[in-house]
Amino acid sequence: MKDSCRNTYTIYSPIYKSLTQVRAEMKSQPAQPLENTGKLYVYGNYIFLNELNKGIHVIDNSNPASPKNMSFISVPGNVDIAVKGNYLYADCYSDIVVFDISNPANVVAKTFMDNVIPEMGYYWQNHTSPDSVQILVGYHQRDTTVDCDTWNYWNSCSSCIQMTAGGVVFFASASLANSGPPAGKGGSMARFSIVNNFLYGVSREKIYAFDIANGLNPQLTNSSNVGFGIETIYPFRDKLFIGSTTGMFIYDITNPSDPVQQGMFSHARSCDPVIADDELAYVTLRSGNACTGFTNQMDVLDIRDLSNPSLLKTYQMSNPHGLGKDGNILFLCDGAAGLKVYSVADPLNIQLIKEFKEPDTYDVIMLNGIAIVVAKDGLYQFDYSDPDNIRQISRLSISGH
Amino acid sequence: MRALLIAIWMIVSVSAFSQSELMAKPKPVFHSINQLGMLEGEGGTAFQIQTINGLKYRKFFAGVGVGLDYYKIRSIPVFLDLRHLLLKEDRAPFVYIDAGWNFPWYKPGEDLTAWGWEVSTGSGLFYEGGFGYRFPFKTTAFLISAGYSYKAYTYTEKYTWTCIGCPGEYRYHYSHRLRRASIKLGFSF
Repeated sequence: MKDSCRNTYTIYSPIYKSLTQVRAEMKSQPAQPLENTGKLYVYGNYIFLNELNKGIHVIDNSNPASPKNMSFISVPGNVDIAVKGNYLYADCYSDIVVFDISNPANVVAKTFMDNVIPEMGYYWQNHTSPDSVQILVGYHQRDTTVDCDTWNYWNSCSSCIQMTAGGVVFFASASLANSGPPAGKGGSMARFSIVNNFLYGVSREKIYAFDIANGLNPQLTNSSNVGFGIETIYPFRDKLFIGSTTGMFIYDITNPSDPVQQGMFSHARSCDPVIADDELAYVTLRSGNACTGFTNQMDVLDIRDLSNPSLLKTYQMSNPHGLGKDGNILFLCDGAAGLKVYSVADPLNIQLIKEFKEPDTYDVIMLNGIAIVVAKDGLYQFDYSDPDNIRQISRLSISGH
Repeated sequence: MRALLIAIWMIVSVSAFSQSELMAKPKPVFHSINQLGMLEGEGGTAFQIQTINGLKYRKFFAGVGVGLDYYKIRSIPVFLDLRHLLLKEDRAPFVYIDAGWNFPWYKPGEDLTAWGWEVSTGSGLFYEGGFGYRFPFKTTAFLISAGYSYKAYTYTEKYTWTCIGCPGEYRYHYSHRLRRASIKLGFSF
């Protein structure tokens, strides 16, 4: 008597285009359905929503009760975005592309910073001309079924092996007065952040600082090692809070061109988006996927002594991802457990005031009484202007849901 | 007179026959069969336990069973059980057949989940057939049986890469079909 086993999986065959061709297509195109959305950035009446590795959806949010998927900007390899004034900064593998968004209906790529994040420089390799650089722009998919004993590593997708070997650069944001045009607002899962005239990005190991005083021509002023497993960056005043799989780092940006580490709080290995205010930092730790570990909780840290953050209290969660705070209201994306809204008037005794169990939530931005939430099945918006009556006001569906 | 006696005899005979036939007619009786045993196959040796509850009517039994099956993956088979005694006596060999569905009992956090894979399981067909022997003892009976057992289940591993340029979701869907020899000891009442 023999047991049998069949394994069904998808073979991804990469599709390449020349970098020149790819750059020519980096402009507003007809809207595409939301499929596998990631980070988001809010600027004015517009939401810029990343479609993982493919580009950016531009959503007209003039009426939050009825957002309109307006157009799509194709940016292969894009994960993070940040906006300041009329310029949108987006990563494209190891490049950063500056888009002119003065007319959101007709976004145009203006500046290409070649291979500015070398950790992601695989597609450049030894090439110097965009004509000779081949870029991965997608995959042909084909399902196959084999005996379970058949060895099926990712030799059918060599690019995947290459891409996973490197770091990832992402972007977040905050704005201060007297710093030129206002910046938009990013979520707590972001890896790009704009503070005054500087764009900060974190890769898996490094922090990068770009001077964007001249919005069209960013200048790299500094890059330095932070540690291992860097994931998110969150700005507050003259500080950057950097989440990693092993802890939270605090960087001082009094000298904005040269961020300097000021403090650190270590925790069990897990993913940890972080937000902060004057006295407290809220850190969500989660397990699963690349995060590993078994921890699923939200830590409240005392950061009054920035060189020595201390744990005040831990709250158990299901699988917390991004979070946002506005006044005493805190929105927490608890993965498949939905969206949770807390009153944090007393951080040592936070109170659950509302729970939306339906959406599998990822990240949130809270702005002017509206919480914009990225979930697996759509882009949700909630009105929290009245804490006693927090309600969903719209949902932009994601294809297939 | 002779005719009268014959008529009385016939009436009494028919009446007696009908009464004995009526008294002998069995009714379905509730029985509970509880057994534990071993499963042996390519995947090694594993423990199993079952309880089957149903009705016995003459030499037939039909019931609903549920069990715990530790072969390769812990699972719960839920099935219909039919069995038939091969002799008139209570002490007799029997044949049985089970058919139903197998539900893996997977606890999140086990196996590869800790390393970043999301794991889920799915149910599959379960069936078993075999023969045994029934040894009555006062109000109960001991059972011994051997047979061929099949269970199926699916096991899906999913990993969502956050790296740039990756296809996004890697997914392996394993469909397992397990074939084992089954030996059980038990009792029924």
